[in-house]
Amino acid sequence: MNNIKDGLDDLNLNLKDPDNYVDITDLLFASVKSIENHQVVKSKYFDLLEGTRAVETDNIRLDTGMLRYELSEEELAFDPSLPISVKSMIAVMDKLYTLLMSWLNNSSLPVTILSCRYVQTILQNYTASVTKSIDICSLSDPRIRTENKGGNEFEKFLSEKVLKAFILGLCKYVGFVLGVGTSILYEEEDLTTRNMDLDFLSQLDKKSVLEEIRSAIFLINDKKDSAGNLIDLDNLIYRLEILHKMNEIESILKLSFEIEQTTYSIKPTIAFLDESVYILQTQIKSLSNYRSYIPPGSFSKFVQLDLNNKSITTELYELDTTESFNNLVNMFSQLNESLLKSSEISNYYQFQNFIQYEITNNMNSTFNVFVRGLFQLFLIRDNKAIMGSTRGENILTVTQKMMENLNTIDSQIFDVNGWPDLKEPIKQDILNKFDQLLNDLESISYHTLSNSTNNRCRQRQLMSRGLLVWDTLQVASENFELEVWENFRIGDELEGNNQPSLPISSYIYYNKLSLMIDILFRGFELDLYKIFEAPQIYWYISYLSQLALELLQGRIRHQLESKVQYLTTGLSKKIKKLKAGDKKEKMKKLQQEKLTHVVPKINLTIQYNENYLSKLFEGYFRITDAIKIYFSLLHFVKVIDLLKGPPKSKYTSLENIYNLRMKPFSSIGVPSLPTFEHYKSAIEINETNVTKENVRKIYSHCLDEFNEAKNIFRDLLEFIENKKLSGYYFLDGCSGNEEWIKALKKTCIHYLVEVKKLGKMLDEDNAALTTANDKKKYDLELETGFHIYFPKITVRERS
Amino acid sequence: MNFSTFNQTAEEFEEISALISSHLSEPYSIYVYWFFLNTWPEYCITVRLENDPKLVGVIISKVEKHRDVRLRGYIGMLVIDPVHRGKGLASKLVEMTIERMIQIDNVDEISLETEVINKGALKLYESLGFMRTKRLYRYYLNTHDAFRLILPITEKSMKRVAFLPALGT
Repeated sequence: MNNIKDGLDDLNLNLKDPDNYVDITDLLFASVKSIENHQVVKSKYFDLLEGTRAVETDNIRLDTGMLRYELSEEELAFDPSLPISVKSMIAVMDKLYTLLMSWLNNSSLPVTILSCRYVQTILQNYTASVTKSIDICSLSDPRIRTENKGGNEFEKFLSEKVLKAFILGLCKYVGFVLGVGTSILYEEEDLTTRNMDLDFLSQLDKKSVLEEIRSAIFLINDKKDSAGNLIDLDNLIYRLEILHKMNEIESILKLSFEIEQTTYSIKPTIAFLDESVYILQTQIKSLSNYRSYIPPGSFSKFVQLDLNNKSITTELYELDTTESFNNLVNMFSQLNESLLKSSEISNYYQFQNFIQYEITNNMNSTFNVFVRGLFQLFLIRDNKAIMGSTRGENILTVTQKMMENLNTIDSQIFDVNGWPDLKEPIKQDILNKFDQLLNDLESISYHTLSNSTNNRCRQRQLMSRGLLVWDTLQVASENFELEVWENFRIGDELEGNNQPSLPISSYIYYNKLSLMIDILFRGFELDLYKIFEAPQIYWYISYLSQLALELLQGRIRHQLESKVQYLTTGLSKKIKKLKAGDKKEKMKKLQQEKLTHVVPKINLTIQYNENYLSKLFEGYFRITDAIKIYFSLLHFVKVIDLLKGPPKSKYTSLENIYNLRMKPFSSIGVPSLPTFEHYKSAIEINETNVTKENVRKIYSHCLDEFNEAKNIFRDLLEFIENKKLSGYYFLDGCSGNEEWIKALKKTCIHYLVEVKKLGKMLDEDNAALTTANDKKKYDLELETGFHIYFPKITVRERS
Repeated sequence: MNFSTFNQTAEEFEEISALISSHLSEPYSIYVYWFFLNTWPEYCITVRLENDPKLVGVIISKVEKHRDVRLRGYIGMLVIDPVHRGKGLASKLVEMTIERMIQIDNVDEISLETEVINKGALKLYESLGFMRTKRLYRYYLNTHDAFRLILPITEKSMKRVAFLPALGT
């Protein structure tokens, strides 16, 4: 206690103003006395996370107040209002661009942009002001008075006009990014929005900030004859132009695209993005050339000492300038590319493939976090409009279009006017239930679409959460469709078996299966599985892929073919039976319309399902089955023991690990989760059956399966590359799908080589088949593969 | 080597916090140490040399309800003085903690987070049966991702939260 008192005395608080300060020393120590030993006193709002970042007084690593002893006099007394040379000005700009990219690379504002005294001062002045006008944003810190500021007229102009304009533009842009972050991105995981209670010019009109930048550029051009090195002045202007363009980015949220409508070229509207890339690559080129001109003391930890800081002392963070430069270029180019491609989407097949293969799959750490958030805001607007559609395309309509793309096109259940005549209360009751179902489908579509721009780790977590919803929806939709079919004959009949078509629940089941497969696959991408888990996962995926394939080629194909059959033959028979007259003519007209507009669409869907989706799942089935067999082979020759889990697993078992791994699927009704016993019997590792002949048989089967998988992916690739066949479904210029399949094909080739290598090892080692690895001769290695879902699993001879 | 639980003296508290803060990259406030050591002294195990009272390793853990349906042990910090690494001390401390958590609280599972690039820690925990359940994007201040590892002990650990009854019901 005495030590603490001494410490407080050391602080030497000078209570000159007793009206504003109250001495609480006695009160504090009286309170402390009442705390018993070994008791933790805390607010219920103060949790462990808060605790890990809590400021601890008198601890050099945790007390930001002690920074005063670390900061130099130059840093403490830095005067941001001093005149500045052109070179120093460019150096500050480049450093700020670097810090901006550093912030977007998972850092925080206090250790990046706010470490700049110019930024801090302008924001402090703005935050403290009542008027919130642009004039108040000065670089003068009222606490710092420099008698003789020095500098020439031009340097004063640079400080007062150009530097101010630059800082204003940067802060406005940061303010916009903060807005995107707080509404879309995950705090700390994607972006840290801690702002030291500074207002990033929230009430300052964007136009006036842009005007400041333009005016600064104009004045620099005007003064070119009389001042400085022309190259430096040009460099100054390029950096201001980039900032101006960064502040134009917000305008993309006003862009409006209509899928399935004649598109217009947005190139001119977003030309500023392309121009930025051009200026950066051809003019600015680097952010490090002027580095030695940074004014001493202008960047420091001062802000952590000076302002309200809820965090512990943190070292300043700065990315390498080359990486920052590349990230800056990428920010513009990734946004440009995403928008250009979006504007070219002309149907919902392209939309789905674009979202899956160009957006969702690309959200790795190299994709700019700000662009991720912004694209999400662009994709789904506040009113749920898709890409700003003004013609009514929203989440619900997109959901229905995606359903039609798989199997629900022209389904009678969606044609309320075509329902049989029902009493109003009954009809209303059915309509209410139907609306509820559609609302639920809209919600899960929103969940899925909005997840597309999350980081890949977060995507998987949210997919797992969404799985429960899909499962519940499947039960609800099946009940609903069966009920309205059995009681009121609402819905379509499957041709030939008098069974209801159940298109909605089929759509949901398909999505659920796809999601389950993707969640499992992504564990490989995120490096979640140990090698002994790999066969379990691939085995389960092969089972689910087979189910998806059966669904596509069975019920879904039947639904679509029944519809075509009805519209061509069934409806004709119905018309034939009608007496001549208005009703018959109306029916004829309706049939003609369906034959012209609906049947071709169904045929497109059948082709897509057959040539693309079915092939993809068949490929997944074959390759995962082949890997499962490969593991069985490895088990037989004792390179791995598939029934042995972690080496020292006395606290748990392989079965427990299997059950924990499969937890996300444990509650799924259909298909129910296979047990660990199922797994054991599926991998067919009957130890008594290990003969040279059997192993040879498995070896051949394994090669056949990999060859089959390779051929499927080859066919799939040919389909995608044949633009006449596939051009309707895939956006021109997008290579995501193609690359995906190419990587799958390469994976098959890699495994074929590996399996053959294993075969050769076995041939050369006569004793291999039963005792090959008794002496741990071989080992398995897991390495990055050609495809994110398939790491290389390689047998290596131990050295 | 002598293994023992935290003796709840100010001296040992100082020793423990000094050892941890000198070897972990992220600084923790005194609150964090107090929070763990005062609330769960039984889950703070220290290791000292036989012939030298110097503290050479410590593990700090806690046991709490997880979303009101499971009892989850959590390994918060594990530090071994670099001079004494490679002697199996970390493994021993983790095993002792697991056994105590099962014995004292009958925990359903034990969890922790570790950097994806920390191969040594992963090898240690995974050899004991811990499983990577989640990858946490840029979890650490150094921007590295983390794995959340879980050691499943009881059936409850393998069921989704939504399908488990609240504890005590």
